[in-house]
Amino acid sequence: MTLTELMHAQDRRGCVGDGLFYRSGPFIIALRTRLADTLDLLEQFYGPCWASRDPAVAHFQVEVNSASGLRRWWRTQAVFALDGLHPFEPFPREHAFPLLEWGLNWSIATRAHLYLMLHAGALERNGQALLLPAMPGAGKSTLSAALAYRGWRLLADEFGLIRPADGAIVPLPRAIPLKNRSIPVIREFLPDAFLGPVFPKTRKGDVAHLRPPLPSLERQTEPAQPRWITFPRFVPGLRRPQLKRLEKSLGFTRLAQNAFNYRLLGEDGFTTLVRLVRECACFSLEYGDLDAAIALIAEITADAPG
Amino acid sequence: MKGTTPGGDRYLSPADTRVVATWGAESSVYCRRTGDTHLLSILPAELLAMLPPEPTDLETITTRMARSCAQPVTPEWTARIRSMLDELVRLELVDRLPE
Repeated sequence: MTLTELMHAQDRRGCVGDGLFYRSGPFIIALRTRLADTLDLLEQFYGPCWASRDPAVAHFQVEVNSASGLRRWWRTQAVFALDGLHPFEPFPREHAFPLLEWGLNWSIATRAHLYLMLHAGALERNGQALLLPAMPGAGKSTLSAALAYRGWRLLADEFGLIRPADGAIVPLPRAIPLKNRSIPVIREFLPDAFLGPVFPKTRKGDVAHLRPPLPSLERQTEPAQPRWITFPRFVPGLRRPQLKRLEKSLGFTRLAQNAFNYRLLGEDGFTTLVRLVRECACFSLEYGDLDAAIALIAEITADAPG
Repeated sequence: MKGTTPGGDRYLSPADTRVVATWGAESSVYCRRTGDTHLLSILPAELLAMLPPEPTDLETITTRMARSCAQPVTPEWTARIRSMLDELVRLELVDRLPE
């Protein structure tokens, strides 16, 4: 059953009381919330994903609800809990949905060490994947969003999950949080894509979430083999994108610095990263125009079978 | 003066303390002792690969490296190899046994 079917098949309050289980990539999330607006947004972004009210083995037990205590009387707040613990200070109540999304990202980043986790967008075409590793603010989410609606399947916009056993990228397609100047850029670039409400003045500025394309959610359990690694950097006003091939030694070093858990994985992290870099061509890309960047990426990935 | 002349300290590098990935002229080396990863240029990588697992004196190492790199054994060459060995010892990729 999909999340949409679950929510419409029964009284939505049923999802509130005992919680619900839904799939996000390789993970099963157990969510408890009494916040109807958060459930509405969850359905809008993840409606096609598998969901159930029957207890399932969950990787993450999370909760987002209004804060209790005296503070709720003068300023309503939302709190996030993982396994009953509250890792963050409360957020304003109206930021409950971004809090849930960030909380889940934090949960994955701190616990999903079955994978080598790169801070990277990831997209697939014809079974071969493009990784876009970059630190926050470099434009990887914006570029990932644009590519996802231009013929590529979105695997992830934030977590490049590399499976050590076979080097495959495991999809984790989530709502893409666009920040500040990226919001009007994507609104203009993808006028038909669903963009959720703008959450103003969050800790990361204004944030609006872009819904992943339907095929990305429907195929979220299909991994892909990495073939290209491109380190993107958005440069305002740069009309002609600059693409450079990188030495693999440099690509390896940059990825080791980029990964969430490279050091924690020890030798497995090293061998997984070596395999990844050996199997991929490495580039750096500076861009200021999405159409031009997409065209250049199409050129370097043109040898993919299809 | 201790450790500054060939024939003084001896060096060894057990192969099971590291994993090496070679990228053309450079190598990434994972050190199992420390969990650190190092990027080595061609000469220290060659030195590390050439070091035997049994203790070997600096003169022997210097001579072997000179042969491998088609270099004459000069005081400058010996000092350069010695400096590289010191760095590899600092990274715990190589052990130094005092004289």
